[in-house]
Amino acid sequence: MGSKPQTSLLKRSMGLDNPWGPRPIKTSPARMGVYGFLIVAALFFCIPLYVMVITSLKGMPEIRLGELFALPNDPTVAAWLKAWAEACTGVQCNGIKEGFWNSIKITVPSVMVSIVIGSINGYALSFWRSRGANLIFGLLLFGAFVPFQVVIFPLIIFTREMGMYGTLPGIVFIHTAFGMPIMTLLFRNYFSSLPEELFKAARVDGAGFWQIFFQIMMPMAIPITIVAVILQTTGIWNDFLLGLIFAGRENLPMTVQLNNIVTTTFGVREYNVNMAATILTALVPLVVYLASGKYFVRGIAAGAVKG
Amino acid sequence: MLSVSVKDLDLKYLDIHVLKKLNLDIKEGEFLVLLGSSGCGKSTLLNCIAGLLDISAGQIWINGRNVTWEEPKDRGIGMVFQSYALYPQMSVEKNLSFGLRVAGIAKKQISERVQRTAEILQIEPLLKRKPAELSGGQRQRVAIGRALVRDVDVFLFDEPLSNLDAKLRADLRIEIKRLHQKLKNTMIYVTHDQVEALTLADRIAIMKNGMIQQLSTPHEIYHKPVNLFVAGFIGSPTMNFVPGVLEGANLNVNGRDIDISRYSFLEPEGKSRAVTFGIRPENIVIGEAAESMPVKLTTRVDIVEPMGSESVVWTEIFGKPFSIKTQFEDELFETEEIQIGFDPIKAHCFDKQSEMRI
Repeated sequence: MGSKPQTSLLKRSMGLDNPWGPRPIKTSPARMGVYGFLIVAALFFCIPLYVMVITSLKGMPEIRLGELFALPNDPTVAAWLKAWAEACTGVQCNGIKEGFWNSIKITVPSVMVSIVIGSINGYALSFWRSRGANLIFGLLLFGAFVPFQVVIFPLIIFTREMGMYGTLPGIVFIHTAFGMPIMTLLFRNYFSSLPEELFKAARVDGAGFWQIFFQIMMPMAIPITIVAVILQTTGIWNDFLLGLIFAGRENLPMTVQLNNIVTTTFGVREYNVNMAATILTALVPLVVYLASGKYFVRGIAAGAVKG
Repeated sequence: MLSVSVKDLDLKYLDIHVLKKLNLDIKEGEFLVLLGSSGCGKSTLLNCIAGLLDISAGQIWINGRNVTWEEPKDRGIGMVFQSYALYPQMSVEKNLSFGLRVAGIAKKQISERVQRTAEILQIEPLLKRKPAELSGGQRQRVAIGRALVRDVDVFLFDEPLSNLDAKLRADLRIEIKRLHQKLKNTMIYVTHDQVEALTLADRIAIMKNGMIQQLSTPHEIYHKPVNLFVAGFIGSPTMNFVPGVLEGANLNVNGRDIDISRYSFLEPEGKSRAVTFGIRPENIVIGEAAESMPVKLTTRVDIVEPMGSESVVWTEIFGKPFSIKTQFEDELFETEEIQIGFDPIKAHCFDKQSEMRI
């Protein structure tokens, strides 16, 4: 009581007796084990990427040696250039770049339209609770759980009747429709977590439906909008089946082109070109993840907890 | 002239009857406080007056106009919320001017009104800041400013001080009172804090289960509560209650007769009936002062809670825990035997069945 610690500074700092000051950081075996496991797991998941990158930098003679993990003796980007501009995707040999631009043309409008509609839906459902709002929301959610393969055939007929089958607007419409449930859910849950008094204050101030949406709510919804952009961009970019069916021959997305390159049956199988094309295709989602991983995790959590 | 008038207001949520045939008239320039515990419907009533909730039946009149079907912005009201509800991405200036900009008022007039409001509330140095850069008290001041700048006749406050700490709450309370004296607007103020209600209000409406129990001045509510609920709700510590049988002016509690002929009965004393007898802790005296009181008792101290300027003494009388508020200078000790007394003129008597004051 009140007496000063009698032990030496050394003993004290080691926490041997009479604990004093901040608790020393200890590394227990359990913690070491956890870190060890995490490092091993991370390395394990990196192996395919490693193989892909080094294979794409090798020439075909070197690949034939079968030394999968060996670093390239004579690194070259020839395979990358070929994959981008010369590889054959069926009859044409213009590389994967056409698919890249097609994917851009499909993804950008689809992401924008689905987010605009999803955010309006979510806003209307969480603040302007009209009669039947819950029913509409329930139906939308139900849509999220229907496997989309089931509705493909009816959708083909529908888009054909609308004159959209095999066109760019057609595939954008399809992606927007399939993105609607998750976008609405995301925005509804986010808006539900905002204080309702904010909405009431804006109404007392005389703002209407659109004024509240654009001037009050959307500026506050930037984090969840980023999440929506990430989700939709990766989802639509990685889509294969819908693009193959609905986009039409002129607008086949990158994923479909990649498949065509990899499964081309004549001539030599150019593993280095295949690897380069695959990495090129995966690059956009990869960059999106790496650039915004923080928002991604935060947004998923924010959307999931409240609802 | 009536400023706000609520007529036969009914509100039902599914099966829950939140407000029941509620009538309330508020005079121009009056400061009315809606007081009650949570879930009593006070905030709901305020939201109905503001037009933020659709009502099931009845009418709402503001300034002689039937606004029952009007939008909130057309009702001539300004509202202050518990969570401030400032628009986080806008500066204080933009927060204040948002409603005016939405209404399409000329820029020059907007800046004049914002300036004047900022002067009244002394928030001019904060105009360029964002809400996140303000303290709780400053935020609430801006929220009040947002109602003020709209130049409306009626202000609605929804527990505006509940999110602030005790000291700030007391400061802002006085400021709101000062503001009311200066502006002379009608103000309707919702709170669950009886101190706020008693200090601010011209009249208090005490609510329970969607009905107004008593609508009266703070003085009347404290001294003449109309029923058992109001008597128990107002006052801290709460009023002491004992059950008894009243016969004429003779109250029988646990076999002991107490003469309460000094009590002012509302109705002529009738035949014997069961009553609940109440006396506030601050109306009981201890020690020598008790000698001169019409009713005297001896008891033992259980617990003493010293609060600086006064002490609350807990004891047991008629088998019931009793609290006594005293400024007794001498220190009291537990288990000490004390003499207490009170004057029935300051007591309260309620019918056991109807719980109404008699």
